[in-house]
Amino acid sequence: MNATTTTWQRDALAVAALARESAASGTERRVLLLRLSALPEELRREHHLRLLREALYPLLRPTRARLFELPSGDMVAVAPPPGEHLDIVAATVRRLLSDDSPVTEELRLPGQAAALLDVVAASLGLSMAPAPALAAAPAGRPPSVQDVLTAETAVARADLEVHLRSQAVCIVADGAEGPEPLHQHHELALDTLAGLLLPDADLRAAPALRRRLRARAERRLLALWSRPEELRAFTPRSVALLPATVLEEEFQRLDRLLQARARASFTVCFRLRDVLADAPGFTIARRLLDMRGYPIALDGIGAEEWPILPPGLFGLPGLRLRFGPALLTMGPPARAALDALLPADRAQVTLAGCDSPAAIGWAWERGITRVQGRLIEQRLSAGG
Amino acid sequence: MPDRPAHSPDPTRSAALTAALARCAAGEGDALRLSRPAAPAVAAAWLQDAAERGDGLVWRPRDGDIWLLGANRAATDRVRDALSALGMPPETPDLPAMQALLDTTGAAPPAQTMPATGLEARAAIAQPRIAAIWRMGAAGPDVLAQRWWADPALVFDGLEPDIRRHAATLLAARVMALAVRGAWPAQHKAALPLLLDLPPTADPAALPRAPDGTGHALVLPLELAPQAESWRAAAALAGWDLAWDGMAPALAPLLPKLPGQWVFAPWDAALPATPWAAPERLVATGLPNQAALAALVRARLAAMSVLPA
Repeated sequence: MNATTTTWQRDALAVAALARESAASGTERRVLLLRLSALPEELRREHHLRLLREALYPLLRPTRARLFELPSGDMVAVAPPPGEHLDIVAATVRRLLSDDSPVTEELRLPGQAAALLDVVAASLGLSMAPAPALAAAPAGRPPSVQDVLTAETAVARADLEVHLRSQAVCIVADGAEGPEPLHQHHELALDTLAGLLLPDADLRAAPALRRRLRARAERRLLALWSRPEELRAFTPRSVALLPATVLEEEFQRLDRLLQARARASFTVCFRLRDVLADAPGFTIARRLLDMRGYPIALDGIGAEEWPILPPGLFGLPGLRLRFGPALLTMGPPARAALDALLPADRAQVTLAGCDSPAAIGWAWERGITRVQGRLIEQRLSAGG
Repeated sequence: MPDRPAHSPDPTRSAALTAALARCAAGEGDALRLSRPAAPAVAAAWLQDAAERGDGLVWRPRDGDIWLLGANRAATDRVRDALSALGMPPETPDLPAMQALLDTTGAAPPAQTMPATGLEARAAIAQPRIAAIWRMGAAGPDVLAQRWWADPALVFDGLEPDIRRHAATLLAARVMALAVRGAWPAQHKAALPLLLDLPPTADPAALPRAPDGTGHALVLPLELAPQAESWRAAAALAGWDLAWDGMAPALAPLLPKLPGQWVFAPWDAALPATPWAAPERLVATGLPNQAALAALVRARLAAMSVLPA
């Protein structure tokens, strides 16, 4: 192993540690990701990169920013907010490369710590690509029960913050200056976790075992959220859980530790498929959450799910829609049917997957102003 | 020599349990019992809270029941109301009559959990059975259809719930493999519709051809309902209708949205009283006792019974 490789690996580990530390402490950081690995070969020669480094270091040296180089060739500049000099760096890189492709990307910690960790993992040669959706035909060998029981023991000790995907849910109103953050929405990246724990098996080929492993991971997450340092600064949040997880000891423990105000700002989301797979568990979980004052929402409703939804949404007050192109191409009868299903109080509706202005336009047409997605994250990073 | 009491307490009974029972006997505390609650962690947490507030004791014998003993009336009533609202109403045990039971359940060996090792191999050779779907008519039960399936509860006893669901998938795959080979069950009556369980991982392009006759259906787990139309089309190409498994009172408004005829629902005490949009489509499974059967017959719902091998 040569010295350069060692430096790269050390930098990758340092970035990963920084992302984890930010996620754990809530310390805000601006991150500028320079995806030099995406450049064409003729712009990626060693002398190009040397010129780039020579241009960047003087820009960053007088500031508190740090520059890291990843094994993939990508660079990561990290600075405490407001970090305006990162904008200068981004502009300089674009000017130097004279390239229209999106080589620079901004991330904001702690909210996008998981995305930064994905970049680090990919640079180290660990594939973090999400598995295809469950509905697709399983391609690989299903895991045995024993495989999953073994993986569970690893989940019990895992640092799940790394596998948590978080995005801000914001109010974006027509004519407003910028997104108004309400809370963070969290989801466990189970496919990534399962890919690490069961690399030779396809968990989609065993839905019940997949659900079991997910339940174990969710319980671990709730245990982490019950730590004193977490509880001292318990921020408003929403999270997708299995109904059965709400009935487990870890949720009961967190419930006992949370004040009424914290419970009222903690939305528990149930995906339709999980509700249908465990109707008895859902029945008790819904009553329990109601009695304890938690907001509840039906989660992940897209063009495939909504036609099967009955009026009243199984008694769940909140609805989290998932934006997709199919919503834009619906005919008038389908649109009218969907609109009839939406809760009259639009403050109960969130549109996730807002990665384009078209998604926000679609939301506004229906009076929905609570949105979440990559576009919102970018606007937050840009300060509105 | 003093008169011997009707029941001598087990000498290994703990001092705390003895004290809690004494409080109940003296009228200073009450008792509650939850018999194998559907959400044991919730029940235990809430009863523990009541015990702490009301100076009582939570006792968890090995049979899966959870008791609250000796807590004051206010704390006991509060937790009774809360658990009832949750759908897990506790019983009020007749303690003097249950003294013997307290010791025997405490001494009972823990419930056996079946090792999950080799589940896949055992499922691959399991023999599916025929179950009758029937409704009580004027002259006795009318058999309406037959379901060819392998009940995980019969093949594998004592599995944890999610492992049992996995076992159900494996067994459905076994039934499907037999059907693809055309190895239909000998007990199937040709005049009756035949219902087959479909594993959630099935390939819609590789469905078996339905046998001769009409009304045959593939039974899909309810979690596949969002893809109902795609499955209906794929099943129709192979000559099948659709049926569904996993219905519950909380999901009753979904019933009219499900294509096909039969919808299976595990027994729930609220099943007969629920206002179903099409109660004639509903089939209750896993009836626990004669009282449940009587309630079902009164509500004119259909039931499923596994026929002897």
